[in-house]
Amino acid sequence: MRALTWHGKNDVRVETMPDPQIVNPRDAIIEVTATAICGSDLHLYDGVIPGLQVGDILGHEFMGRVVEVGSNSTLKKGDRVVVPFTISCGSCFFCRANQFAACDNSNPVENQDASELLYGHAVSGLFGYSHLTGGYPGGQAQYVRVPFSDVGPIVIPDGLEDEQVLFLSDILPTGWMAAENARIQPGDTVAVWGCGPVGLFAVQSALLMGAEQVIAIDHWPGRLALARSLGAKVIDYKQTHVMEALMEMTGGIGPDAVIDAVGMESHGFSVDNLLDKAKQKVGIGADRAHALRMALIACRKGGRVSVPGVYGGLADQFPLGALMEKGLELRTGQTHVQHYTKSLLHRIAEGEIDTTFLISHRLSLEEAPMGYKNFRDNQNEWTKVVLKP
Amino acid sequence: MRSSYHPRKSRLRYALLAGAAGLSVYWLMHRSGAPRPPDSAPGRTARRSRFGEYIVSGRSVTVNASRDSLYDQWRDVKSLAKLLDYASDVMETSPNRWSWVLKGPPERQAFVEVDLVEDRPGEVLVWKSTPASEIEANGKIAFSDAPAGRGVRVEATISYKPPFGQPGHWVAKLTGHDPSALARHALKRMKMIAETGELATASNQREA
Repeated sequence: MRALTWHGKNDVRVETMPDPQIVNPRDAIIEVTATAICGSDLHLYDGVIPGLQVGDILGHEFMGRVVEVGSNSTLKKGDRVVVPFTISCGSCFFCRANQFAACDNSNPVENQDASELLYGHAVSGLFGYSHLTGGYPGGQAQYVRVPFSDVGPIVIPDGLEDEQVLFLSDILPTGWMAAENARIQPGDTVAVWGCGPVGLFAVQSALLMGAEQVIAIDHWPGRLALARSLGAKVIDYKQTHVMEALMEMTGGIGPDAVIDAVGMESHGFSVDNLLDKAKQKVGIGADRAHALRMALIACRKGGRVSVPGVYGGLADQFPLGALMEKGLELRTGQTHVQHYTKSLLHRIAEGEIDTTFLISHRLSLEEAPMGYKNFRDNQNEWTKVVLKP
Repeated sequence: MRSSYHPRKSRLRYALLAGAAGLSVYWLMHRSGAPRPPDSAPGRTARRSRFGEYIVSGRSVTVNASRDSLYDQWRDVKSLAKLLDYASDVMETSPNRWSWVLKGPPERQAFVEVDLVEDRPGEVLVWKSTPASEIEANGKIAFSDAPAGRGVRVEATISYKPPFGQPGHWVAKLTGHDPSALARHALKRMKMIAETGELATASNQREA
């Protein structure tokens, strides 16, 4: 099969790899019909996530048709499915508590040691990501082996196009969980840093959950326009003082909830970010947490902080004082995708949520390396890339 | 004429001296002197070993399964072989006697033979190495109920006399072959098999 593989910083290639096989009884093999490049794939492309190996197949947003099933899979050949990026067994303590991204059993035993050393505990396996999260071959490929296929994949009914449902694999549930973690109350202002796909879905979700106003912060006019089209007010941090503006737009209170949909590669010309950038370049202090720092400072007293943005290591200059003294509540985590797919599919089918507005470019799998480059370097126009293998 | 006095160098020297003095005082104050009253933690987690030339380590895991099914995984030699991935030739040579060959640090192997000295189904298994064993080691697997329906707590304890003493143990630890790592991996395999019926693998190819 053809698959996109990682070869180092700024180096991804489409290569011929062996077709996947059924290895365990609960496996299924999916023929991929649509897959996307995620913002978090760019962290891999930029080489800032530890634990990748040359030749790893990337991609964790994918869907397709079931072509082969193991003896204990509940799927049938021919089923059309979207596959969550989190791999979860469904029966451990965490899966039973709907914390699928904390699954105890999906990260292979040999891969758990490094993760335990770095994070204290091993987290669940993920498709097409670091070996800290299992090193599972990903979905930017013609075929994928899907473990625990009786738990993860959701069968899509006829009548819904691939592009309407593809983002159930990651970014739609991720944006939704980000808004849920903001515990929105009537009258609330929610400020969202980052108008990438997750930020935009967080905007959409926060409005659906009844936020009075959502303020989206970015610097790309194209992305801010998308946020505005969803019903958000917008702040362009290159023309406005964000902190002052947020205070003035909330009657001097500050946002009730803040969402960091930026993560570890924050942009922005500020002292802390320039220092972070230098440290990231030489490999110390891995995470550039400028957006999170701003969000913590901006959040009103007793407010909620939600972090869907990806962080991998350590961050310096973390405003712990603001977090504690203002009594903020912090909620974060990889998305417990399986917990959200069913209800979000229903909302899509009912026409309550449309995700297709996001897609700016449709490419073949062979064109994927060009897609990576542009998704990173031309963020104003390239908001989401869908690949058709 | 160049002056022999370099204020910057001299300041650096004083700073280094002060730092060294500070570290010495810290070490003197914090080295374990007076005995402390025992705490509630398992002995194997102590900072300083209380077990002489033996290394004692272990690990606990909580599993959503029955005590009997977990006990069976350790008692049946075929399923035991699946847990002891780091060993080959796992065999029951006579009733209550097992042996295996341990893949040690860099390309070394060691023959291990143990006798089952305590066997209470669903509760505990204890084994002790025989004189024929190349490594002197004892092991204990205990099963107890976890609170509030959280399943079963399985605790593995291993004590062993490292070949080449403490340095041998460090080498084993650095190469990931110390008993603590091996026990941790064995318990995780047990948990995966009990909770999911399979062993997670990232490989998308069946083994030939």
